[in-house]
Amino acid sequence: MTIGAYRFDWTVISRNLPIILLGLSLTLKIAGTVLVLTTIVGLIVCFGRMSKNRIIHGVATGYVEIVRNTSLLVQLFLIYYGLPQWGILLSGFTVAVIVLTFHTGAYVAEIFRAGIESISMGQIQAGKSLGLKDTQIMQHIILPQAWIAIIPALTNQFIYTLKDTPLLAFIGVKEMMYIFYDIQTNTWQVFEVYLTAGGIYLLFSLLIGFGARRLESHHLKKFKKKT
Amino acid sequence: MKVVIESFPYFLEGFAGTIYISLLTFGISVTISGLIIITAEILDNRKVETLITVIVNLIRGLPLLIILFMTYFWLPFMGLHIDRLLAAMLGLTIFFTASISEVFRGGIQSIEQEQAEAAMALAMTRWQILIHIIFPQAARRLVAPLLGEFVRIVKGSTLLSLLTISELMLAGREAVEATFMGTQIYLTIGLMYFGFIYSISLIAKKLETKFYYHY
Repeated sequence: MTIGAYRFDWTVISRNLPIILLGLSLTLKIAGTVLVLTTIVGLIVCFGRMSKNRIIHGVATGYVEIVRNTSLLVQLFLIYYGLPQWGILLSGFTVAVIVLTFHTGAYVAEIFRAGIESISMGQIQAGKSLGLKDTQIMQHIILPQAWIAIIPALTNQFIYTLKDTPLLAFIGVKEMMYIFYDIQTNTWQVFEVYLTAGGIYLLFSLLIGFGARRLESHHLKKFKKKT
Repeated sequence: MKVVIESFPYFLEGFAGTIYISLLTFGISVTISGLIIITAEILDNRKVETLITVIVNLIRGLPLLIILFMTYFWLPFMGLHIDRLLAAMLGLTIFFTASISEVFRGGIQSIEQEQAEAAMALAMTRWQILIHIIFPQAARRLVAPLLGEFVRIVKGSTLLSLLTISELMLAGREAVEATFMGTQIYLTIGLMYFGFIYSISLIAKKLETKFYYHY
């Protein structure tokens, strides 16, 4: 198949399959690590946002606003090109995980907060009138229900994170985009390279979305059985 | 600090580029997605709707960077030798047309079905219902989410620097390459983006409360 003078050569993909898979595994490793870390960061920041202490609330809110109102690329480059100035040398992978966690943590915190705030005040008051402590209300009333609102949003965020990882190629992390970009600059088989790259990202977005819907319906069933 | 002051005029030039790219992309994306959604509403055809949904989800399932690289590198090989800036902006426009059409769809769906049914009971035609009932209400609810999309476009436009299209982020990158003052320069660049985006976010928040609780 040709387009004008362009000749399709799909062997650039099959020939380079081992390194593409290596890149894919690094992409998934980074996305997975970030997912686990952001859940922790997100929970802490979320409680910070809902704290009655003004300083804690201010710090958490400031963090969320700073992240959400600047772009990921600026954050990445600030850390990657900024830290060496102060004598701190980190690998691209470390910077990638730190910055992606920092970035995604703010969004995850907002997801948790929205989930928790979706529980009606009446339920919390009912819990209080039964003499439950704040932690008990959180554990037995809010979280089990908020979870159902949180899962879909959290999955979307995970897909967003996966789609953010191609940027890491530009701070020298040898993840999938880096490999594809490398193949492209060597062979100039631009159609094969970006169709395959796009296809893989699309496939994983769909798989994660599908997995999450299964998980969600499973949880919903369990929740309905309990009540 | 000296470096930042010296290169600041250069940053301002880049900032103008960012605003130009973002506004143009926003304008075109809103127009195209508006036309698509209105056409789909008028046709009211299941097949057309499915087709739009599939295409929109296909585009939204791809990373923005991949779409940018696709338009940037594919077009010349397809015999279309357009300007670099145009090629990159086309990628941005395709990506955001997809997400803005989702916003439009959400806005129209947020108008309750009962209203359309009530209008139908008054013997209004589908066209009249859209013009007099659905669109005016949807338009008010759409202002805030559309500003949100504009913010995403501004953030997304930073990726154009990776294709060496001149805008604020590229101005920063070039200044860093010349001086190695990564911290100072990227903090300044970050602050400029923050100032711009945060003020839009504040306006969006204000408009949201104004329009939503008015009715």
